[in-house]
Amino acid sequence: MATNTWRRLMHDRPARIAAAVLGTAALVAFFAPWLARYDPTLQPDPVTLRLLAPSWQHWFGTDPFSRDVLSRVLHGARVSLGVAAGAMLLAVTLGAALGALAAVFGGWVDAAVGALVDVLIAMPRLLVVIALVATFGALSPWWLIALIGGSGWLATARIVRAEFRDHLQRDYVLAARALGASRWRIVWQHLLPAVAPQIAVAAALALAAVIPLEAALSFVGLGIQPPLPSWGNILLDGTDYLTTAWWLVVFPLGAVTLTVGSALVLADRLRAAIAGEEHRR
Amino acid sequence: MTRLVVTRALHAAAVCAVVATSVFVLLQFAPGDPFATSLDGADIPPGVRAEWRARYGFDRPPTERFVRWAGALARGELGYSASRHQTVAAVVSDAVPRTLLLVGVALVIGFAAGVGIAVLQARHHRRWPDRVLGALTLGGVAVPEFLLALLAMTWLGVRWRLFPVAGIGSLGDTAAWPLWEQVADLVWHLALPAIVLAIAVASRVARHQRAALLGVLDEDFIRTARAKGLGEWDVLWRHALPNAIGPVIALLGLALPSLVGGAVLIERIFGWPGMGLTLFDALLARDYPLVLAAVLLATVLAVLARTLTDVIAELVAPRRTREP
Repeated sequence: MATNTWRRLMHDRPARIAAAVLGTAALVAFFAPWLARYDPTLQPDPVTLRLLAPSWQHWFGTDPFSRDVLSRVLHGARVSLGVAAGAMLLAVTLGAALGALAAVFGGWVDAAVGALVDVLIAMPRLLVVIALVATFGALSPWWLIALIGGSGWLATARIVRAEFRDHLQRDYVLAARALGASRWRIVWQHLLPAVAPQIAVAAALALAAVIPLEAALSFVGLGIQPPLPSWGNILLDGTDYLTTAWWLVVFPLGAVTLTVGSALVLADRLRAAIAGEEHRR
Repeated sequence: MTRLVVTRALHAAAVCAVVATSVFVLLQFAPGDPFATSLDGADIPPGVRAEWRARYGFDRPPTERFVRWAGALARGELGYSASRHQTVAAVVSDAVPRTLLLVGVALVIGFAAGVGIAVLQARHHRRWPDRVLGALTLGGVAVPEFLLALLAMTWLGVRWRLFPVAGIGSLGDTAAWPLWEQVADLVWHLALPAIVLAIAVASRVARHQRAALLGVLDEDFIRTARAKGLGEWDVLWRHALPNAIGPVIALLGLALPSLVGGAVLIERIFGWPGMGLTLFDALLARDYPLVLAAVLLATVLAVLARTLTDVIAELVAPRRTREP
């Protein structure tokens, strides 16, 4: 049945467009060093080449340090989307694993995971991350991934636990058990594929939450540290020139909005596809 | 009902206790203290610093400090803020009402606007009002709040000079003004940060409320209401909405911590002297008692609000939130 959900999704135009945008963003991030015409950290001439409006030489203009904004946005995609994708994968894996454990074992495992979720969900995520980064000093991108991903698994765990508990009571699981399938075989062969669309929704939503979080952290100077470009700190560089040099803000803002918007649309359409499938059953 | 309130309250208290303990433990690993050399002149002799540390109890072992801190907390004392030269309670009692005002106003406006937008979208499902509002709310979620804040500040504040760009009140002797002028001044300063937060809330509420409404509109009792000859607006407001709003309220409760987090950035950008700005300043000054109190209070507020929304959701739609 999950196969039908995926097929439904592939015939859905908004979903295809959103997936194409995210795919392009991922390709751009991967090939940034070959696509960018300039070194994103090079400051060729901070006097005559500073704050140039978009032109054929500099499609997205230049920043106050005479750096090429297009090259910075392209390289920023590598850092921002890399951190976001890493944090999303960590969050979803952790959430799916803990949610599955809670549902399959029940009892005290379920209670422990539930208590952990209850405590973590009460703590304002951005506030805690800001507090941690500010006390322990600037973090490397790897630590950022661990911190953002490690605090983002709650929604996935809740969804996976609820779905697993639902599916565990269905007849096909009973049939598999009657045929002698082990607990782990049922989880891997039957439950995970059946729940995959819901996990994908959680993943898309996690991605939509993580990109702005990284941008916000870098924006207050606590995330990715200059000169390494990220969408957040490119925006930070542009804040003093909002009324005079719009290109410093509009292009990174567009990048953030497009990727986050696409992830949200994908989550919406996936949910609709799942609902349509449930409806038909 | 009473049982629900009591269990939720006990649960909330337990969560707060665990959060308080873990934040305290975490801060033991943080480098430095309010008397570190990096924060002021290097010419103060180490002996003087040691004496300061002894006076404020920073030389005691962590376990003793934890017991003292927890004991003081139980008595309602939050400690002394070395960077503000005030008790933490005094700093916090100034800041918390301001954050509550900002978040409260944004929540009320945002929730009302979000529900209104969703009803309008459901009324014109798949026609242009639905599509336009859908695109706008998608944008409201996809554009980060801090950028919305900057754009509002630049255009409404700096370019058109409609609103002040920072602070909570005008400079000068405002205490001598008549009361209504003081209130008007506060509202004028509140406008920009509250609108920005409200846009973020409204977009999220509208997206969830629209989906919930469309789900309910398929059900049989709606067909019955239409068959009775009720107008479409009556069907939406009186039959569909009461059955679709419960999950959205519960969801808002879950989203509140992130709203408080978003308020931190908004407060920093607009110089709104609430808990967010206090936390930032406290972190930069390595004023850990204040940091501890700020994170703890934010958690308590979030837990309280979530308990409240759970109870409200239960009251509004009993059958939808009860677990099997």
